[in-house]
Amino acid sequence: MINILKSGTAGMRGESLKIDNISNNVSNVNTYGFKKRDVNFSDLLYQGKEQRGTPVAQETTTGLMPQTGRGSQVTGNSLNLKSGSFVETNRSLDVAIEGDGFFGVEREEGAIAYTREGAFSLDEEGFLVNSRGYRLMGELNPLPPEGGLEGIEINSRGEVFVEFPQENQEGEDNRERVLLGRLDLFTFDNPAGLASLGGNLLEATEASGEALPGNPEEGDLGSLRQGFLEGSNVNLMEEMSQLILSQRYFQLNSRSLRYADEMWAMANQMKR
Amino acid sequence: MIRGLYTAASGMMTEKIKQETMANNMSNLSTSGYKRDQSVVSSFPHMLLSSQERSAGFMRLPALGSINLGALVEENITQHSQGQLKQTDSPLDFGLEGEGFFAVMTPDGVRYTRSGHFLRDSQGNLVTDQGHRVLGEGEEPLVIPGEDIQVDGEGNITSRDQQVGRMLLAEFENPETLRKEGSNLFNVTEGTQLVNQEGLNTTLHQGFLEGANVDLAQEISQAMTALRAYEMNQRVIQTQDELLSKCANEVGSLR
Repeated sequence: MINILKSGTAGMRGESLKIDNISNNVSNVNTYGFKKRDVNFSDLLYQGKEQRGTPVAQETTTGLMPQTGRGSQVTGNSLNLKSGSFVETNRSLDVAIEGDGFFGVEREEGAIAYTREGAFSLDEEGFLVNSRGYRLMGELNPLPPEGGLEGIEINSRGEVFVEFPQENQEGEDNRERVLLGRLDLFTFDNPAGLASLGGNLLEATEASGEALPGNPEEGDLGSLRQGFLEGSNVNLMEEMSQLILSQRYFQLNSRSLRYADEMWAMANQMKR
Repeated sequence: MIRGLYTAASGMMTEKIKQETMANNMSNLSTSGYKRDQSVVSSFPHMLLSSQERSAGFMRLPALGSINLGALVEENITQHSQGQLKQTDSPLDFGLEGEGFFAVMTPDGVRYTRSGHFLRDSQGNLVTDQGHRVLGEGEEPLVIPGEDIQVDGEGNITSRDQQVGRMLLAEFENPETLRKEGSNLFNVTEGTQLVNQEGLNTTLHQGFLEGANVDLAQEISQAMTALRAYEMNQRVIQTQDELLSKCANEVGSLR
């Protein structure tokens, strides 16, 4: 009986974790650059039933003794790196990555975090920063104070140009185009093993391996698209159908718990 | 009377094992590549009942008919029917259509699995989510590049139009002899026979995962039946107990 209880509890625990995960995915359905997580399950140990006193056959056609399982476990929730759909924003500092790379940002203690969210802005010194105010990684010079936001161009290779008006002697509007530098992108041996830090940031772990730096349009890092943002890769329909299933599976496991309880009560009531 | 008690008790124990099996099936409804177990119950061997009577000095044993003394779990059979293939779009998720298995290397040797949720670890190995390495042709662990992985229906892995390996798929003549080990793994037993690599009839689907082949309605209706059968056996024990009590306290009482 204790085994039925354990299988039921394990199933309920797993499904509730899955529901937690679904609710996190759903609440980030509008988060730019968000990557959803998938929960994976596996079965637990199996135990042979050939103990003395248990009514099991001594010889079977396959030669295998009957065994029963001990429930299920969650083996991990890995990042799903499917690309989200691109949303046009026409903002000069919105950049989407068409490929597998990640932007790198420098956090307070010099630690580096990675993100797919490309909504950048400028800090007071003219450096490109993400929505949290962390500076973007790359060989970048700060924007000169006279340059405006409209004049910034980021091409598919990650090169950042700025144009600012310069009037020459004849009074003609002669725009000057200056290269500020180039953005870095990062990739990982196992990007599914990245850890979430919150605030749309990811962190390298032992499972993901060290970050491999590069520039856009190298390898599979991908090219950049200015004026676009990458939407969340959460599919609401899919999450909802998963939610319905998980809820029913949870109920079913609670049912097997109740059955075990009832059976135990019956065994106890045998001698009144 | 004593015989009847154990007959009913064996029924209760059998129903309990059935319930355990179904609880495990239900617990694994979300496990990819899980194959459901089914308890097969049979009766104890029949025996001939005869009455003993003594007439004119020698024994006669007239037969009364046969009786059997309870039920037992004959086998817990794993049903290797196809589970539903669900699209995940992850390039390292694989679903199998057919009777094949992936081969993985564990510390205890080669094991087989239907769960195709794989990852590429930081050394470039293709591994299961438990960290076991996935085997390619010749039982060599697979090492794959990090970019642009395409796998066709036969398990050929290509990256940028270059073949980088082939996934080892295994089929068995008698999959019912495979033994579950937990962690989605199956192990071969003495009687297991591999199908020749040329005769494989399994198609691999990249970006899909195979769901568990557990049917909700079937499982819950069987669990209800098992619960009520358990209850009935319990009633039988109570009745037997009452009969015994009558014997001891009423028939044998000296007033």
